[in-house]
Amino acid sequence: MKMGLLILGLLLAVIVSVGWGTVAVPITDVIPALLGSADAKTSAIVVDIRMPRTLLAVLVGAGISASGAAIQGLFRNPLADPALIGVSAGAALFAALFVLLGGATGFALIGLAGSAFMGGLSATWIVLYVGSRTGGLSTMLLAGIAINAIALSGVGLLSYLSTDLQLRTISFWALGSLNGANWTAVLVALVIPLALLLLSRESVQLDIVTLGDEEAQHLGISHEALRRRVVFLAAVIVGIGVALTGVIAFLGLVVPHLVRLSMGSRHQVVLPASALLGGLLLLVADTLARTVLAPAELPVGILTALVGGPFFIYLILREQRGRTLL
Amino acid sequence: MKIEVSGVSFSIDGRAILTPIDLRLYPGETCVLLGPNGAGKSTLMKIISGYLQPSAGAVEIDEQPLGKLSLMDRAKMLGVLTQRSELDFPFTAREVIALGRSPYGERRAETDIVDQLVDRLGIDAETVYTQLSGGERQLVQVARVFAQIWGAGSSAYLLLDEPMTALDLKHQQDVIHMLAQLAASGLGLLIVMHDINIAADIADRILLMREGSIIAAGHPTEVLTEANLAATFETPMAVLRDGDSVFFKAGGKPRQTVS
Repeated sequence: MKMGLLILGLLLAVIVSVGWGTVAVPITDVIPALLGSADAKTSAIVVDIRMPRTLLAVLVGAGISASGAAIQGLFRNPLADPALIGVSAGAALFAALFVLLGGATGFALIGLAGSAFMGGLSATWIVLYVGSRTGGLSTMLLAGIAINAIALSGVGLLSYLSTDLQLRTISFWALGSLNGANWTAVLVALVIPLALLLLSRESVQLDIVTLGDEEAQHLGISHEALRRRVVFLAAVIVGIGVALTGVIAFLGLVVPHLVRLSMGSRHQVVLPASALLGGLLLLVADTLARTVLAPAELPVGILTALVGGPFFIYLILREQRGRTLL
Repeated sequence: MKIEVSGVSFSIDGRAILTPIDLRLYPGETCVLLGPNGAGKSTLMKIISGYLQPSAGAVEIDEQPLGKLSLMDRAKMLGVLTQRSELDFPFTAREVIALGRSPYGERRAETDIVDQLVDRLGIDAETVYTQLSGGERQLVQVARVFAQIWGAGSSAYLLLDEPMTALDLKHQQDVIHMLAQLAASGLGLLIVMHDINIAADIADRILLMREGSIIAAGHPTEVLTEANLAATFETPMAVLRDGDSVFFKAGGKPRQTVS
């Protein structure tokens, strides 16, 4: 029922998002445009600009949010964020390196995105490696915090060394935006639903590991192997997301939390519902980001952080209140 | 199922937690481990359950080394309750208990077992776990572990680290009742607890632990003497008899009351 509503909401948001913008396209024109039977201008707007951007928002929003849910389950912390595994900071560092080394002018999107993706995976690998040396979850968390700090200070250093134009590129990239969306990006982002499918196969094991590593082992689950698989999949998903759109703040943190509030904690439900709600919310946020100040455009990362931040504080306070009552 | 612990010792950074321990556990037998804090009871449990590797010695289940068994096989043989679970997600009590059946994977038959347990232990199945009190959470975790070995009879073993902690008197009795029933079905039990009165009631064999060694083992009437208990816990302990019943009181003889 609730899942049905989410699917419906998402479909509705897709239609509205494709139609809505500086040039309004009536809903009745959207399908003909996609089929190639609308006039050239409408086709260009729908097929070349809005459709890829809409799809990218849905795919990235879904990926980041479902990964957030999985990482929260894995770390047994409903307030954990996918950034904990270092993927966003690593991506930011490599993106800044790429910008500084001059690649940004040449093979634009894939070059920057490719470097960011590699940076994300490398940082996560270090976090996983340090974590596996002791086997402890807390070691991995601390390693994640350290890698985040190191990578971000690297970004700071590179920003200091960069020219004004480079600095602008680095900053805007870090803010997160779907501005660069095109069909190539959508094709790359199609890896996200595949990885999500693999991630959803870990649902029951993620439920079990929330009991504790020792409890999981007594129920037949190797928590270390599970950790490697989930962190790798989350790093691929978030890495692609960050690479294509920059850092979209708070989505991976807040969306799974919202889902659990109304739909319980079983990952069989939480993972797909977070994907749907995350896709929906990022699409809504992006549609607002490109229309409220039109023709100017707000980086969507600013909007998600602006709304997500206060909401997150509200959630923490609510959670604490619930606890002191017991 | 027989568990054999031979020459098991454990140390951390050169500090001995367990000195070599030999122990045999049999199906249908209820063993209770008693001892002061830091005696090594939980460490011994963790080694028998396979979570910790002993520094020396070995644990065998039916003559097979524990390490040779897959985690999934172990999960079907050993139901383990640890001292505290870290669960911090709003699962319902029913969902938590059902996780105990996850090694078996057959969904439909499983709900039946969960229903039985919920009913027998008086658990409100649809309540959200994170909204439960400490004792209620404990009961749900006990039920989860019971679910794991439900119906396994003598082919499984239960290792329970302080199952009664935080439970109220009624629920203690419910759990004791079920433990007796499980033991009667052939299941072996090893339980760590602090309540000597309950231990004396349910145990076929008592193991007294102190400073990493088992210092006395045997039938409750042989082992639970004032001298043994005082040596184990370093506090005077009175053993009071009233007909066939025996009661234990820490701190020595109770004050006389005027009736």
